[in-house]
Amino acid sequence: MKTMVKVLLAASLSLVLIQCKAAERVDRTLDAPADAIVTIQNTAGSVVVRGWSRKAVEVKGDLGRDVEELVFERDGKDIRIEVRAPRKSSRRLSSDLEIRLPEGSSVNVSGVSTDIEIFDVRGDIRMSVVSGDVSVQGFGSDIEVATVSGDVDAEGRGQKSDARFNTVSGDIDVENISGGISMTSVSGDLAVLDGAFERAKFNTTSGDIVYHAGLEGNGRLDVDTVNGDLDIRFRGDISARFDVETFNGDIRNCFGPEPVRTSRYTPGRELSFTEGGGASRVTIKTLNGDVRLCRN
Amino acid sequence: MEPKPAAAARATREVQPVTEETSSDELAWIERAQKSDTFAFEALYRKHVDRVYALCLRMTANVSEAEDCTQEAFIQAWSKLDRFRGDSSFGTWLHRVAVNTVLGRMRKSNRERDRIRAVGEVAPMHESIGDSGGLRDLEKAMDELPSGARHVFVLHAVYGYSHEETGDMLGIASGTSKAQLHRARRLLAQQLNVGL
Amino acid sequence: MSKSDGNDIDYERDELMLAARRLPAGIAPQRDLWPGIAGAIEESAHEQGSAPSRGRPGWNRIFAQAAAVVLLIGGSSGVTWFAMKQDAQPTTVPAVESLRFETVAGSFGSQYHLGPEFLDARNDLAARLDEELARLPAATRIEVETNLETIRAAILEINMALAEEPGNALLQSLLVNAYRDELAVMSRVDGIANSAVRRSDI
Repeated sequence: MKTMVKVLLAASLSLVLIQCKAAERVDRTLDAPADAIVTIQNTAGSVVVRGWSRKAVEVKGDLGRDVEELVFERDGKDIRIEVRAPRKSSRRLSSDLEIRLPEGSSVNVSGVSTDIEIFDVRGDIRMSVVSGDVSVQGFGSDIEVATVSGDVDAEGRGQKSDARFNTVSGDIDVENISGGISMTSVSGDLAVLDGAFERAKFNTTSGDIVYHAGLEGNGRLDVDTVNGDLDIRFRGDISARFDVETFNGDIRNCFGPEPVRTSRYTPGRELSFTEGGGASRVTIKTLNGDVRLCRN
Repeated sequence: MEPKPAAAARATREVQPVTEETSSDELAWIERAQKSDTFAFEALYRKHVDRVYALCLRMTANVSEAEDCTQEAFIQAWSKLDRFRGDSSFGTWLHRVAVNTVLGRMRKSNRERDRIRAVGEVAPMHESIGDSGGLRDLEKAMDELPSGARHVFVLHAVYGYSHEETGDMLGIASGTSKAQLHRARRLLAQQLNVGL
Repeated sequence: MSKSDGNDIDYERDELMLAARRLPAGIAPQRDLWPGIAGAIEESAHEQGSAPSRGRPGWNRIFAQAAAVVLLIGGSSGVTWFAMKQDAQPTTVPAVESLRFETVAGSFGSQYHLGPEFLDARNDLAARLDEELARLPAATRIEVETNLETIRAAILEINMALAEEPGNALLQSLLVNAYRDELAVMSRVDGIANSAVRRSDI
């Protein structure tokens, strides 16, 4: 099959269009600055992104048969990679892309039923998919991920960052990051292992929440869930003021103080106490969820 | 299905892969399935399910995992059917899809296991599978191998894929594949009291 | 290729390798796996066609299941509640004065009010929701609907508890969160459905 490649050179614009008529392999490279901003769109299939030390973006992969074209273009710092779908709806859009880009890049990936994996990217990362699974390893900066049913798996290097994860039913697992984190899901389970946070916020309707990490001095941990169970086990020192409220759930507290009933006539329980100097704040609210509060 | 004889291989070279050429019947089914004919896809399924299931079973060493894996592999194959170009036989292509499925599910369940471990539950034990006769011991011993070595042993030693192909399917270097094969052989030899 | 790469196995004579090659290439599964596969691919084959039409708005279902629905509304002097009968039209929210969405800042145990802007947004999204859900892939639509019902069941449960303890700050706070989560999920569907349309129009 013939591939038509048009290369237009302008002062600050490099544009490469690849036109495909059927399922096609792709292998293209463009020069890029070390701090490129790379936007990737692929409605279905997979995207694997790896940072490297070259100042170039390389796109390899397989495009689905009905894909209209792969857009791969550069405008200064902005690189755009898009699997373009035709007007008519089609089932055969599933495309797999393998992308290498400068490790200092910022990356923005979106798709619908697309699995995404990102390795060794130090710039900001944003991802949005509906049903694909997302995995990020070795990221360096801020990260924002939204899925509907896809699971999220993020592993950092212990660096401080601002991390936001949001799913409807996907599970979210985060390991080894610090700084600020916000995790929200309706029925997905949330888990944070290792790392230490200044701000941590968790919110589910029925998903369970596991927090086995540290809380920095003057840190805040806020947990809201209707029916999820909480398993909180602090790593390292913990010095905080605790306010825990549950309507029907049980509270098991390794720190000592026992919960008290909020009123004689209703089921609710609350537990307020201070551990250590009390510089941090831990606030927990649940309707039916059980709460386990411990430390290592 | 009997594997092809190894007669064509020279002593120090690897044997030919087990998969057969794609038959012309099969090509017709593939073409129709690519146009969304589910009956044609079912015919392909019937022809290849045993081989896909066997691969999944040996790679995962768990019956229910292998069943899920097999289903997921065929579902994936359906949605990616247009990308089968005939570079390899259809059976080999299906094996690739199945390997991807196994690895993808492993990544997911490793996360699940970490989370479960964190809350103090125990991960499920896998059941061992067997075959009749003297080969039962080998299948059982393979189940006990660590996953990296097991995957390589299944693809290279059982199914005859080269180290390059095995590495490609598993996302590892061919050198790593060779190292894993040697590790598998050493561990199996210990288990089975076989001289190497 | 060369011997020095360490692959010095004699495949013709090695007992282990021969045994491995003799293993059967195929093993029949213990049960027929085709039905599970057929179900999934039939669904995707029909994805592009029209989704099954749905008469009543999905969220009526959760209300229909309850004997009564308790809505929390804020008045200028504390919190009042009223019950809606099963067959009432949920989209018609009776007009009540002084509905404002504001958090009264400060101590542990604030009072919360739902505001008219919030209710408008919610009703607006709910009305469009079915149409937008129909544009999503079937599996996603089911996922979203299931999770919205999870949230709405939670809202119902919290409201039931509030009926017993209208002044309970924990319950009020949980309720506001739940409405906010519901709104967030509906907005997300809105966003996805719209961008899906945009993509295919390029």
